[in-house]
Amino acid sequence: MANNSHDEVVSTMLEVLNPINGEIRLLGRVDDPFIGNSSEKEVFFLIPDLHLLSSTRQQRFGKYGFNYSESGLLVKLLQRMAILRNSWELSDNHKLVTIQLGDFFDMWREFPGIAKPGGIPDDAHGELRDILYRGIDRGKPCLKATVVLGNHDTRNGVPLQEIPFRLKAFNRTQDDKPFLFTTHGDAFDILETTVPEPIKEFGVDFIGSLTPINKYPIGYWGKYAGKINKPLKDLELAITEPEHNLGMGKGAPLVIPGESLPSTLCQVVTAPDEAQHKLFKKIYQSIDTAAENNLPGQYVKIVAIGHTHQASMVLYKPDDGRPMLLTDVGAWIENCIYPLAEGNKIITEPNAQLGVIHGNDARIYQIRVPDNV
Amino acid sequence: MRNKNCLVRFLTSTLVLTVTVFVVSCSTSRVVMIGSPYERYDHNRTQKIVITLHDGADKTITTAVVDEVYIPSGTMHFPRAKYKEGNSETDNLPAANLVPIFTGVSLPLSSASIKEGRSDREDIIDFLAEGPYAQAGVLPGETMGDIKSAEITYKPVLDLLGSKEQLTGEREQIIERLSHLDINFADEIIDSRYRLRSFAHVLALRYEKFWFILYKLPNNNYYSRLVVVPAKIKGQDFPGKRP
Repeated sequence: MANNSHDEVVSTMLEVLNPINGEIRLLGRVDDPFIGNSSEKEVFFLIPDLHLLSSTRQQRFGKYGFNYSESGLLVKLLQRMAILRNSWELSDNHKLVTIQLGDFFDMWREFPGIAKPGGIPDDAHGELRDILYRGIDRGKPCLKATVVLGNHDTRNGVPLQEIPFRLKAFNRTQDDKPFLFTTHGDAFDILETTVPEPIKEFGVDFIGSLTPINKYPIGYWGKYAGKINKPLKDLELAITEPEHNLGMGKGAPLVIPGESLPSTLCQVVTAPDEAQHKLFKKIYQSIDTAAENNLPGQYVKIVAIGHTHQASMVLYKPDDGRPMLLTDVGAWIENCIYPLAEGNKIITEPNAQLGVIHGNDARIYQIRVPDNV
Repeated sequence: MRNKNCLVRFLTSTLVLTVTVFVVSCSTSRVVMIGSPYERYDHNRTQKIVITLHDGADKTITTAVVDEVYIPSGTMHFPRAKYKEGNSETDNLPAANLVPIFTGVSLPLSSASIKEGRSDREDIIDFLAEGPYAQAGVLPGETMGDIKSAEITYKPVLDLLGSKEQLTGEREQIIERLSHLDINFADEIIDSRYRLRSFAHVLALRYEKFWFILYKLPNNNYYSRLVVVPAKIKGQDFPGKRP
């Protein structure tokens, strides 16, 4: 029996995972009063980049796409979470606040050339759209998620109209001193902020069109692999199944409700520019800017982002000075490399991360379905 | 010679194209569309409404207006209507859903607190902070935007909206009062709620990421109702994504 909201969330997800021999691993955790969240009411449920494509367009990009799409793993997890949300609402116990961190649909790959935002079929990832934001209009279970605008969520600068996007989102507070700030992360990425949108969109589509191994014969890759002195297999995988080493020093423990977990599992740095995360320093500086302008962002302790597809937690907690925890929730596209706690065995598997924050306890989970890998 | 002809033709077509683009862009009118309930901010979203039904004995219902109120199948929150005679239902939808059409936020904008919600001024700032894509006209989101930044950014317009004196007068006077700000005024307004001839004057001004539409009733000397809708914005707003 789950005894706190984190355990309740884990138990809920395990109801979906247990029958398919799935499990949950802890990729990062900081449980520390410095976070300063005084409300026990809200449980924040963070969903990173998904990069959805309609099935027609997915064929063009081959293996490169939303993980576990065929099995509907994420949909099943979210549908079960919606039941938990309702039960919490009825009992006035907790409130599940779901935030999708952007790059929901991949408009860059969905629309080569002229965008037709109304041109995505109604049933393209229909269940995911329903459970996150669309179900409310169709009498279906819905998490009423806050959806943050990612760089891939627009085409020619126009977002998909059916999604109620936010540029950024804070936790709701009475005193205007939020502890949590969520944004996609692209606003801190120098490539995104300097290269014009049409060039990036073209690049992604152009390079993408060369990637599908189902479109071009293996021999095609072989011909070019030889020229750049790289084994064929490596070249193919590097493009269609990129891997991100999560840089975890310690192995990821198995998460079982009621069993204790390390209170700190993250990269701890003594200066912002020490962080092994390309956006940490810029994000930390942006909080300084908010402080200079006396804006609510100055009170933020946790910044949750997506964008990099590389899940990690970075904690900066100086003796004197402002602390910050960066929670990069990862993605459900591409792959990750990390060690398991048992014997530090290194594994490579599809990115399938989720973030959960309750009180002063922030976590990133990796959803594993080993039989599927 | 052939190259020269090609060059002349190229330069001529470039000039024609430039002139065409210039003429088209100069003649494009600014049109504001007051569309769906989700897009338009026309009431304090934190305030419940009271409905009085007359069925022999009067019955009063106090209810919250939530997003589901506006779905095609209707909800238990508000009555569903059928045709008096005949039944052409093929998809189980009611003939109509009796849902509120808000007449707009009352002006001058009130800062008076509300028992279980926010003041009109606080709620409109919350809406503006949620951003132009948020579609939060019916119900506030479960997360919030940067309230303080929105309050600072939109202060000049909010101050005008909060002053009966500033809202009094003809369209030209309002325009003159705002002339020190970077404001655009709409040439055409399309309101999906009402015929605009119901009003004596309607004025739409764009400031930053939103249009503010002011309504003056006949026999009224000041603009007394407000609706806010997002402006159509293209491109990524990187500063807007930072804390």
